[in-house]
Amino acid sequence: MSHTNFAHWGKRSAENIQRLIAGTDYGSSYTNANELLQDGQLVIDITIPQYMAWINNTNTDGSGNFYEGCFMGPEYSQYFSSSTNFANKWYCHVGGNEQVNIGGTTSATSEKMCGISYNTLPGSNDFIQLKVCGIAKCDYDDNTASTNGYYLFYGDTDGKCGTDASTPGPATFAWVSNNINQSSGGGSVFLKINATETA
Amino acid sequence: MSYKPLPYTYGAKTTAEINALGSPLQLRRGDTVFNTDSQMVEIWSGRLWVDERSVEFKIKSTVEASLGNLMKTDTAGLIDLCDNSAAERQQFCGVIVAISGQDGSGLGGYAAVAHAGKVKARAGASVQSGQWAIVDSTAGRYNDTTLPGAGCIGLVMESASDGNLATIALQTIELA
Repeated sequence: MSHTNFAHWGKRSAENIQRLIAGTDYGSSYTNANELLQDGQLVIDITIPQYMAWINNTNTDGSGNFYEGCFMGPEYSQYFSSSTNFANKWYCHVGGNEQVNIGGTTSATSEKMCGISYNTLPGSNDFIQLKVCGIAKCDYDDNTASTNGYYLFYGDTDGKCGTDASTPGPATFAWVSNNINQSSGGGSVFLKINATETA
Repeated sequence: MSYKPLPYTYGAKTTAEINALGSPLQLRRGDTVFNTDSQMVEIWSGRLWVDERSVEFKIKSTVEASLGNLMKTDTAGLIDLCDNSAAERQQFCGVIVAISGQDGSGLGGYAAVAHAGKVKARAGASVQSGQWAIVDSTAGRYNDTTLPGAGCIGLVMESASDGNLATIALQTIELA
């Protein structure tokens, strides 16, 4: 009889997955030795229902306080980022090989939107997991409250999104699929990523 | 009693290790492996390893395709190399990430075509990281452009020379 553990890390919320990545609930003997998370191990995410598989990076961190890895899935890509990494922010390409930084408050950066961070790492100069298609959660900051179905681009704070219009524009990268967590121009929205702008 | 730490037929392996797993006859349809290079779970379709963000297509029998080619679908459901004419852009379906089954002349076969995310695509000219990727006039390849517009398929994430494979952030093609 054989036993296959389908989801090594079980069912977890986004917050709990973040604690797992950071090694919050495990002793430093695990995290320093980089022995806790291994390539291909699955976790079931119950915040945005999906499964994700852990991937270590080729460059491991000598200090060992975190893994320089990411949980990945079919709708995610992994890039290098020199800016501090946050969850639920949009990121843009900044030149350099496979490098992204947190999005700015301009059309120029919004046009180069690559994806939205979900579970990610606590440091800068590290690899980051970006959701590149499908539904994502992104923090919102705009004087105009969000409207379901409206197109989104950059907001008033780095990495947060804001409302453009009811029709696509040159720097739009998504539309609002659910604004229940947004109020008074803050909070967050669920959005459908569509990074193709209309020139 | 045995314990399997990963829920895949062949565990976690690099692309080279996956390609060395054995002849197609030794693999069973539905076998799985975690590819540490592509960072995706891959499933053996009976012809090739198909990752989770890809769809398997049959390549037109007169077409010589290879890894990284930009492809379009035709009315018969087959795929062909895509060029930058408006009619072809409308049929763009993605980038080849796995291929097998070509005949002795390298024609036809089957391909796994990715529709989104970080992929290695074949440049049709010298391309610069930080620009937009656009379907090239040379069928099956991409070029870079300083301004986004019709025919753009995403962002150039890695500089490369003509004919080489380099990373792009593949997004929905812009038709307008």
